[in-house]
Amino acid sequence: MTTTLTQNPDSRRALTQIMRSRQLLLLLLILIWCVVIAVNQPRFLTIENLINVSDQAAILAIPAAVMTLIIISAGIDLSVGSVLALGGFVSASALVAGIPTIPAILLGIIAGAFIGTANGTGIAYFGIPALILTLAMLYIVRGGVLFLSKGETIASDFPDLYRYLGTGDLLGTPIPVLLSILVFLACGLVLRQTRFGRHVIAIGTNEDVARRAGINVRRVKLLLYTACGAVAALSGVILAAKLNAATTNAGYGSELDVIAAVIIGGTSLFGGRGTIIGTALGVIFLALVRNGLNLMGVSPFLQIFTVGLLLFISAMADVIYLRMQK
Amino acid sequence: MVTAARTPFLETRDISRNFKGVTALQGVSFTVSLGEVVAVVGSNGAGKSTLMKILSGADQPSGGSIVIEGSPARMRSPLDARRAGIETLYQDLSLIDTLDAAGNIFLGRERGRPWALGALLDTPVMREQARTLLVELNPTVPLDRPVSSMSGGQRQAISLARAIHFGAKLVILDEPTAALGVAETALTLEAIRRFRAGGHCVILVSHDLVDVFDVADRILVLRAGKLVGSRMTSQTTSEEIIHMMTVGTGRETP
Repeated sequence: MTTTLTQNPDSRRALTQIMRSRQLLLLLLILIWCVVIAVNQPRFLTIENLINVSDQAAILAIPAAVMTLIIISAGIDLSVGSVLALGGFVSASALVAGIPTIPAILLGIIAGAFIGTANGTGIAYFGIPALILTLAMLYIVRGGVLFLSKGETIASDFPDLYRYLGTGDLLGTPIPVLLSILVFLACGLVLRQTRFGRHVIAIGTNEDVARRAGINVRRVKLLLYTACGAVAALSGVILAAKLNAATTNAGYGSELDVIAAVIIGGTSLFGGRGTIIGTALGVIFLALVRNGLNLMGVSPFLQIFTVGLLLFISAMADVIYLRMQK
Repeated sequence: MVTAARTPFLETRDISRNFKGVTALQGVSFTVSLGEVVAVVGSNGAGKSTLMKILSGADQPSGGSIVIEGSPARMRSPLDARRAGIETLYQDLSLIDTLDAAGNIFLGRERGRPWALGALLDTPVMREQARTLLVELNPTVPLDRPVSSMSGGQRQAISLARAIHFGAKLVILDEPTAALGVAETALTLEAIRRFRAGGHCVILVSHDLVDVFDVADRILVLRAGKLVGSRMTSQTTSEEIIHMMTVGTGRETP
């Protein structure tokens, strides 16, 4: 019926091994980077600095975990940056309006989930390409937040419980870091250990086959984008809590950083292949690169350049892998 | 293999199919019994694909009826056919490259761990069942690798195992050996025999008369939309089959 040409199984298996150890490679790169920077800047490897780095990375890490699932399903969500701002804006507005902290936080998250549901519905049930629909949502949501806030930052004396979400810590670990670890563990469990995760992989590999196997493709997609909206908004709430202010440009452009972290972590943009641990390493690597370059006084412009270079290499590795497989 | 007279699993009665004035099938009647491999042969355009589409639920006949296990069946979709016990394996094969054998066999029907109320995948149990199914069909299938790295024959064994697991009684194979090498073809034919030995039946659509004579119990010949002949494999020759495919009539059979 069908054949996969097996011209050279040995070399291909070797390549698969290398690719499988792509995460190890990334880990190695991270360690090398740490050593290089630490030698030049002793301040780099202090607990204080590392906690600081992970605290900053947490904002991007939370949406990156769910974005990994979306990209494995051969989808994309460009609206996370705007939804992040929406989450902060809605929760902060709710607090200003006198709504108690926990309902205010939930309102922020629900607002994000609502946008995610809109994305998921358009993509899964109306067949709108994810790239276009979520790009539209990027503008719609950002524009909506700017309009409703009249472009003004909502800064107030937010309740302690709200601030705790952004600035608190548990046994020395910042709450944002703890939350992102929780989100990563949950996504990892979902991807590898549940039927849902299995279906995400199947859809990303071959949607027709998945549908023919009886998988409810639409439902899976709807849930994915809804979850992405919810966690992006959660990130926005955390950011607002951290800054004690909801700014209208919060998360501006962060969707690209999130996607970059996922791709650098080894997830294929073509769908079907990827790992949550890879994304965790991708997020950590990007944060350490930025922080290290900062400490060494390297121009921020060159930092942007470096992120681009890393992304380029990851994309090349992905394409080469697919070529070799064929 | 001698097939005793019994209630056929599948019976088609006077199936016809017209496409806007073109008759693709006309008065096709035949039966397939459990434990039987029936080959359908014919030149291009003889109506093989149309017939297979109808049997797999992907297309509906213009006239005639399909009877499954003695009762009339309405197959409006591939899902209906699957529920009736008919699984069709197409050339492009329905496997997810990034999943392993067990992942593919159980796709859409994954087993969950009881203590987690089925929420978590029971990978060990699925893998063990996959092993049991595959050891019968093709022992060379590795269990710990994504199927993208597997040969055509191994992928086919996985598809067959999936069909068996889904409870298929009749499997329709469309040109199963067209893209396989000699050894792979032998393994696939062996898998078909084992599937038959398990009390299932197979409809084999193939251009390769060598394979057909190797594995089929009976051969049906389609020509220009009509069933022009049905022969027990043991009582015919490839010359006669080719004659029927091209001219439309068989020689006198003893």
